[in-house]
Amino acid sequence: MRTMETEVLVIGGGATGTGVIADLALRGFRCALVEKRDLAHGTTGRYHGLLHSGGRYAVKDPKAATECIEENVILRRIMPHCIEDTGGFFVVTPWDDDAFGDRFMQGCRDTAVPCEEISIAQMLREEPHLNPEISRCFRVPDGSADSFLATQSVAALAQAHGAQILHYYEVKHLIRQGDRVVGALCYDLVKDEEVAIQADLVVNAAGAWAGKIAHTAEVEVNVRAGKGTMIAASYRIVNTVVNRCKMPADGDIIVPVHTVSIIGTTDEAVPDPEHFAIEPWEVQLMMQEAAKIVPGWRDLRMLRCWGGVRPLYQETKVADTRDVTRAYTLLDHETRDGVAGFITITGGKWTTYRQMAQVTVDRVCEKLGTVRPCTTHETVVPNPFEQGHGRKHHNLGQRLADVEEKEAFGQLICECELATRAHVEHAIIQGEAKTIDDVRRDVRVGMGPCQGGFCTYRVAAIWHELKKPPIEETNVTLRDFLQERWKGLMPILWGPQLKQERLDELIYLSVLNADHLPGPRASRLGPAMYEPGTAWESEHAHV
Amino acid sequence: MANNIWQAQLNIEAHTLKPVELTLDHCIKCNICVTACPVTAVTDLFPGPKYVGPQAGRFRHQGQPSPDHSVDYCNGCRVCNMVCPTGVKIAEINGRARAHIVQSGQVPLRRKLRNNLIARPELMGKFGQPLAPIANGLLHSGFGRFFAKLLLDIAPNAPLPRFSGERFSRWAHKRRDAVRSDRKVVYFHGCSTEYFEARVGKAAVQVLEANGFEVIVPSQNCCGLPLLSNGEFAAAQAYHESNIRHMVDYVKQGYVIVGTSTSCTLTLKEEAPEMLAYHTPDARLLTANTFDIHEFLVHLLDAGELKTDGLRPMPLTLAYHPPCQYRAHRLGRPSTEIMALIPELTIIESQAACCGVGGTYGYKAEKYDITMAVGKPLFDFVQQVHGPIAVCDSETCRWNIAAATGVPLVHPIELLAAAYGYEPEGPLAEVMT
Amino acid sequence: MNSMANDVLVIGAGLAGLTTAWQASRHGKGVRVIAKGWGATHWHAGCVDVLGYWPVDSETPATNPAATLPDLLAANPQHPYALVGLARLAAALGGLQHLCSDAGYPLVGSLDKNWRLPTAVGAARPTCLAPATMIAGDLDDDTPMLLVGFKQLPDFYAHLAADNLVQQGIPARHVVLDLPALAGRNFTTAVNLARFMQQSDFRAAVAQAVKPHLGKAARVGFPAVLGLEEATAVHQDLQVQLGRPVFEIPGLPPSVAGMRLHRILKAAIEKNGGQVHEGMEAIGFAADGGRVTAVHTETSGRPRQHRYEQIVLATGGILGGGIVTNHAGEVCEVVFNLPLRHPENRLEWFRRDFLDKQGHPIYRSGVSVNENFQPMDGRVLYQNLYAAGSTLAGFEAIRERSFDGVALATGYAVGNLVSN
Repeated sequence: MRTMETEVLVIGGGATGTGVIADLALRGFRCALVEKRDLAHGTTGRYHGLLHSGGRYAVKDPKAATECIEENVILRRIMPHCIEDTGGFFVVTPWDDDAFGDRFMQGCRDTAVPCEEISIAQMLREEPHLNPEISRCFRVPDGSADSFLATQSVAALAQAHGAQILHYYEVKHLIRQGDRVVGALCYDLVKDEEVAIQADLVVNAAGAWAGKIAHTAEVEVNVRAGKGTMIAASYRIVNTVVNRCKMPADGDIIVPVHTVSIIGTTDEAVPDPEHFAIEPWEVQLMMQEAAKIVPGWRDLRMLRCWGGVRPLYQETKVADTRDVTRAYTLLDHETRDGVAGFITITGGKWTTYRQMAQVTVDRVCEKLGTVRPCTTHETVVPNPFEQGHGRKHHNLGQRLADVEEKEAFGQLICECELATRAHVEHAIIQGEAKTIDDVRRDVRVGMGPCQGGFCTYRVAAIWHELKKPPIEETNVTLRDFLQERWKGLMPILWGPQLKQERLDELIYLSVLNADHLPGPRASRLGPAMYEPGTAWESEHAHV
Repeated sequence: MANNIWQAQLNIEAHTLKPVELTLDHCIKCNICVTACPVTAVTDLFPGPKYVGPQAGRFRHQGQPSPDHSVDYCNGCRVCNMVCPTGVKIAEINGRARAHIVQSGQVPLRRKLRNNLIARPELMGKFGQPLAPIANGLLHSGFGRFFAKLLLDIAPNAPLPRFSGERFSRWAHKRRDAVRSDRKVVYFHGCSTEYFEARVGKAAVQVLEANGFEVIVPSQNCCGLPLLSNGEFAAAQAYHESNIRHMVDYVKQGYVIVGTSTSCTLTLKEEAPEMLAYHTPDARLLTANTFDIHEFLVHLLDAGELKTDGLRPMPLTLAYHPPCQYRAHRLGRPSTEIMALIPELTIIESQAACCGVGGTYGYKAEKYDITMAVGKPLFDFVQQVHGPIAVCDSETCRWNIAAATGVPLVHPIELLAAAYGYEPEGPLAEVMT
Repeated sequence: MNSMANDVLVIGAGLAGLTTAWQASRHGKGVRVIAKGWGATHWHAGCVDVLGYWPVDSETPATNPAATLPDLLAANPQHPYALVGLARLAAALGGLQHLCSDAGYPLVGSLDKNWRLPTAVGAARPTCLAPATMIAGDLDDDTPMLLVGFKQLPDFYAHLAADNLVQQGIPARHVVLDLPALAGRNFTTAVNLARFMQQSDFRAAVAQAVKPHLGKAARVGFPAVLGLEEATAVHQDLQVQLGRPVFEIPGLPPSVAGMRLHRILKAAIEKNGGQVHEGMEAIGFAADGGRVTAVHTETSGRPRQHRYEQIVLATGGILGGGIVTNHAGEVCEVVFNLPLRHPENRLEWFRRDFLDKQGHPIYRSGVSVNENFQPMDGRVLYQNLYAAGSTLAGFEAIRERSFDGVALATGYAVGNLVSN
């Protein structure tokens, strides 16, 4: 067994964990982060991509709304390349209460969320596919966020300041000595070996998995997994975030992210963040609700479906409420449970990740007896993939403009998402990809309409060329990625996408015969599948 | 459906078509369009229909400046649409993308001026035709060509037509022997017949009258296609609206519109409404009641109402190119079916995808070489058939093929008119004597 | 040439539709093919797969389709091959071989033996008929090979194929060419590479670049880009220049080899006086007294009617577009709204593994027909309507590797049926 030593160990490579490690590194701590898969593999990489203006909480949770708008302004400044300034609408559809619009306006005023009502004609000029029966429309500064790129960028910032990022390190259990946590025993999935990491302080930022992690140190943290199901349509049917103007409910938001439009989401408590199904009723409900906002939605091509698990914290003991808002929770297990060297940060949302990291690291400073001010609100996070775009907001046409400018038509590996060979090579080498799915999260290969139909073969070939692994490894890497794509397709396969998948089968089975290549059919780095869906009806859905 | 093909269909369903951009959802990336595209076959300046159409389409945002420019090398031939197994309207997606480039002010001034000039055959005709001898002399002189290239980037060897001595509509209106009948059709002559090739219009009138129709020649404008394919949508829409105003009342009286220019009829039927997303009830009426002349004649033939007796034999073997703008009507080959009625006439159909000219595309200096490379297989074919003339329905293709091969071209309706016994004019007259 | 009788209307221009039209036109019938666009020929490998794996979960390919087919028919009496019968299947293969030979592009093989040809990842692909341009790659022969890739072609990777072949006991090396003729280009596709290959100076440059790498290689493999209409000449010239057998390996679509088959079949139909119209989508029909009286196609203005004596539906399955599905889980045949066999429960459409050995049940959906390929719903639905190819129910073309065989055999059978 290998051993390692650090000052602060962060568990979880989502937005919160990478935010924490970047803040730690910027404040000069020696620190390491472990993530059991790739960065943003969990909830961070499986949300709808909304940069909150706070509008969604303006009525229901004013404190959260204010947090959101504060962070919204900061994130636009420090990581513009991860954000598209789409703006947002709140719309009153025929299914909604007209009067809620006034409560919404008032809520925005009370929480300092900028909001203006615009005419329906103006709304339709900007978004011609919206339901013309919409009766009111309010504009707010929502945006859309690339949570993969943001997580990568923040992690790269942390690394640049000396932090260690260890992905494909799964925490088997925390190491406890008496009433103190002193580190974690990890399993390196790639090297297939155990690694013991000693630390002065362990920060549990494992999101929906935080309860499981804490449990290994015999600390009970009641984090329930709230599954949200989302569907991406293959095209930007809207270019503005569109929210229903009502109390938050299932299927009430469409977010344009990169080349797709995402309808979200459901909210279902599931017993285990690892094992849950995408139920057919959820898919039906999303389709039905999306069509209330965009009437033609059901005829659009659905590209993919996924479920993310929100960490829903429920306090069973007396909480340490000093730094806590209803939006997220910081638990100091020394004061809460009498277990020193261990704190948990959970709950929250992507938009407030930086603030969560700030309060967490403030507490770390306190625990380690030092005073070091936070600078993340004024530290620009560079884009690790491309120089030059760092100071501008992302926009939809950027990749197309780049390909056109360089006339890089012949360099395209993923034609749907316009990912070039240089992108892929960078992700494999500098990005230290362990699977093609990691390459996807870095550079979007396989995320377009053909869902890897044409690029999986190309990426596998480049992978093989650059990494020179035994050929069976390349073969299983290819098959793992085909299966990873299939995972998110099954719940929404009909129409053109079903046709596409049959073409992809023709390519990989018949033309390439990739199912009869040497090597195992699947590896431990392959996707964890959803459980089979069975339920057509739900008792919990609220719309 | 109406009982008779010449009776306009007035009961039109409301528009239900999706915007053309949304058809990109059907693309399965299979590359069939790339295999068929005649432009990408000859130049790597054009990355192909899949890339510029359904792929780039996902990165375009009407609210932002156009991120791309390679789409401008699409010549609009629509071969991609024809072979696409999933129904993506690639050429229309490209046309709208080009308009977005134009609207975002991304076209350099000289090119913009040039495009606006060559996209206005009506304007050129109105000024040039009255001065036909001088204008022809100037346009076809080395001097004129030199300045056209210098000032406007017009290809020095562009296949420019010659103005006719008399406008077609003047001929039509001053005739004394016009047939009067209860069976009426409206004739859309388009700019080429009006200003450059009146003989095509005369042949159309003769054929229609020989079949017992009274031919109405209403006041009309350019169909707007050259403007559409240069991304000048506002001007194109003005023309389209004007044409609707001029003709829709005839349709409402029960008369259909017949045209000899395949690209004009395609524009009235489909291109203008789809590219401009212009689907008013009157526009729909026009769409549903406009016919290419051979489409119309085949309907008559199927109904047993086409005059097929006593056709004059034509012992000729001629190359025929079904232009891409004609195939884009998705009607099959009506002209071939009609020409087959003419005794002793042997028609050899080209298999070429496109002559390359793409309307105004081949007039642009930067695209002229592409045009000639695209058209080469067709030019070779026409020369191999070695007929005294060749046949093609579309005017710019005729001019282009003639300029490239030296073989004069005629419209297929001229053959039928001659077979009906009318005195031909132009190249056909020389062959028939 | 157009005064042909309106005998047979074929809807669909994949291998099934083209074969039907070729056969019917060969028998003197007036034939029109209408198709929304091109299809299956351009997607697949340009070979004729008849039966590659049976049972479908078998790890090893079928070596002799003629010997294995009876097992398939015994296990699945509804299979389209059962309707065709082995004799007609053999006749169809023979007929296509004859046609292609006459066109100067021989298809080599017989029903008694599957080739095992290398794929672009280096797996062994069982197929029954392959163009002469491919067969030197057969993996029953274990002589050393050199695989040649092109740096600018993103759809074929010689190193990946070579490493997998080595793993399977075939001595294989690779070389990736970076030719000056391609280096300055913005992009290179299989089709424009095939056009380049038809130029003798380009071929000479290729041969020149390959020669230093030949070593002990007894044969040389290229991506399937060795020419379009001049493939045989291109192939032979490279063999002469390299002094050893040369073979092609199909890569990602579009399939250059498939385009050649499409071209040959289309030319045969047109030579027999038939017409092939692409861009013509069948959108409806009219029927009277148990007969289809007209098929309607979409045009730029208004639907056009096609009145033919016999109608053949060869629009394909879910891939070809003959069968469509939607968000509500409906499965429909697009032209005649024929009743379909398909999984009743939508949750049974798919299995959990993309590469599942049995395949996903939804893809077995199709039209049930009688022994004369007439769509049935307990009884014959329309006296003059037939179906061929992947529109038919009850088989898994991709898992069986029977995609082209079923299309060819059923198209051949129907083409002959409508000619009698």
